[in-house]
Amino acid sequence: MTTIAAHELTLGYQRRTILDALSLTLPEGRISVLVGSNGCGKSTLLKALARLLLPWQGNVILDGRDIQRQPTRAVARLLSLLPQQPMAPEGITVRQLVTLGRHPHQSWLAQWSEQDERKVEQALTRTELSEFAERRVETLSGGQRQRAWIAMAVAQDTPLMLLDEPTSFLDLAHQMEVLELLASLNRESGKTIVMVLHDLNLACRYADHIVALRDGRIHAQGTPHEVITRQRVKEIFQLDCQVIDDPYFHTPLCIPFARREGR
Amino acid sequence: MRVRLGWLASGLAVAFVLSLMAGAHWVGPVKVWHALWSPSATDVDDLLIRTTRLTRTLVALIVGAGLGMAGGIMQTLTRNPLASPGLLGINAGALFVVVLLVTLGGALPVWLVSAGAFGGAALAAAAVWWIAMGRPGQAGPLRLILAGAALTALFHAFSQALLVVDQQGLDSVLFWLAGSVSARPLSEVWPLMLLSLVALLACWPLSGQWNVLAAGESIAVGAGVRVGRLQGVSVALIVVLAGAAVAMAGNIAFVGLIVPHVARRLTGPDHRHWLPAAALVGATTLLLADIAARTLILPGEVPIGVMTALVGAPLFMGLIRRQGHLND
Repeated sequence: MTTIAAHELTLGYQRRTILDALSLTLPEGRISVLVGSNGCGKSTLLKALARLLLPWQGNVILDGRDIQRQPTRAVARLLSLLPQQPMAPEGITVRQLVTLGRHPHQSWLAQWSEQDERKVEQALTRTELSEFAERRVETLSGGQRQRAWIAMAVAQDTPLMLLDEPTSFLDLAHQMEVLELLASLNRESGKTIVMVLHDLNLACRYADHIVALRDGRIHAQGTPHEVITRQRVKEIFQLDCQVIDDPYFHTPLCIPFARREGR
Repeated sequence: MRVRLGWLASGLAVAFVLSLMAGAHWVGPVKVWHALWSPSATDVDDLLIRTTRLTRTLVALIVGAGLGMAGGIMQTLTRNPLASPGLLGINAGALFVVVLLVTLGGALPVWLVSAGAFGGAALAAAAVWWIAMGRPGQAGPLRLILAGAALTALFHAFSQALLVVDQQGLDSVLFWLAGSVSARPLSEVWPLMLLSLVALLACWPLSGQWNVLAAGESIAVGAGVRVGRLQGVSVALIVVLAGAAVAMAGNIAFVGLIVPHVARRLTGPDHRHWLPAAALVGATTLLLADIAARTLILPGEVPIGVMTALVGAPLFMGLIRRQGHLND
């Protein structure tokens, strides 16, 4: 199995510090969701975990070693990343896109193999895109397109998947579709999933572990029941709400009030 | 895809032979064959083909292939379908150094001016790259394009200032402005040809990485591509290909811009097919343009850069109108 952790991570953009000596260990084989208000640093944290950003201080530890000191191709065999709103090259087909996920498994010595072919087919089947394999990505609906990008990450065949707001700009049905797919990848293939989500209620439904960030620090972490309470939500989002038990899934359900009308 | 590349290669072969045949004095294909494989030292046709026509044909072929390939790489690197190697300031830098040399030195040996043009191209591209980089790993496509536009304007301003001061220089730089594949003997351009050929071949093993980079920098990092290094190597290859092209044949417009589009229509976005196709289409296009250039207004010649602009500009305008997603 593969573990990922942040150790005393400090970084930002230009001179502005976004993350301030943040340490975090994410549970293996679980779904972790990063939540927090806009600008709290959750996307930055995810990018740092994916080695897209270089820490000013501290480090990201992948399998016990500093991620920046490992060959990027070797890292890509352990960790895949779906950034916010990726744009597919014009004219690329779903199959070609999914094939890109096999890049870290290829080299001068190991060219395209049957194993690669099989992993691409599996990823297409897994994401129910087999019938769209030869379609151009730009002709797909938003939900299908997001599934195609997830299929690329699935073809990369990594024990760890990082996703930055995978449900943004999707309607509720497509959000559910994407989250169900990720949950099943976690359940059936034991993948560790770390993602940023904005919808607290969906986060509570799908997360094993929630990490709430505020001003570049971890404000609270734990199970949804531990983290999503009336008091905590008020601290994290400066928002009054009532948290009740979801009558159906028995996860916390947050009912927000307008900031002024707090009761 | 193999079949299509095969067709493109055949088209190039036809254009190659046609280019040896065509001119003020037409030579039949059989005669061309003889001139190539069993030339006679006294035959005028053989001499014509083996010296001037073969040289300009080879120059057009290499320059066209280089511009097509460089344009394709540039479009992937910037993720902009309307990017061309000229955006790196390559043409402007080359022209500036040529004008500078001509103004300062008067009648200089051609190889020196060519080397200067290549140096100017490399210098301009390096400056654009340096400005666009800002901080490590931050060479965003938009910064690259803006830096290129700024530096191009600056170099053109310098060139114009020098030409205003020294009007005699204008005649000698006309060739660079309009472009020509016929102004050089083979003995002077072969090092640049060799350089281009090496760069063309060096592109092959990078195709897989470019495929991933085309999906975006974050995706590429996630899939284990060393993005910074790949971008640097790409710029170096563009400089060699487009820099050698401008040093051999001057400013040839639109080939680096249009040809990659045409090639992409034929092969799809996979760089392993697309870039070779861009090289083949580029070479064929420039051969045809050169044939037209030297047969249209006999006994005169249209500068080849004017030919490519005449055909390329309308195509480009059509392209802009058809691109629905440029706002994305």
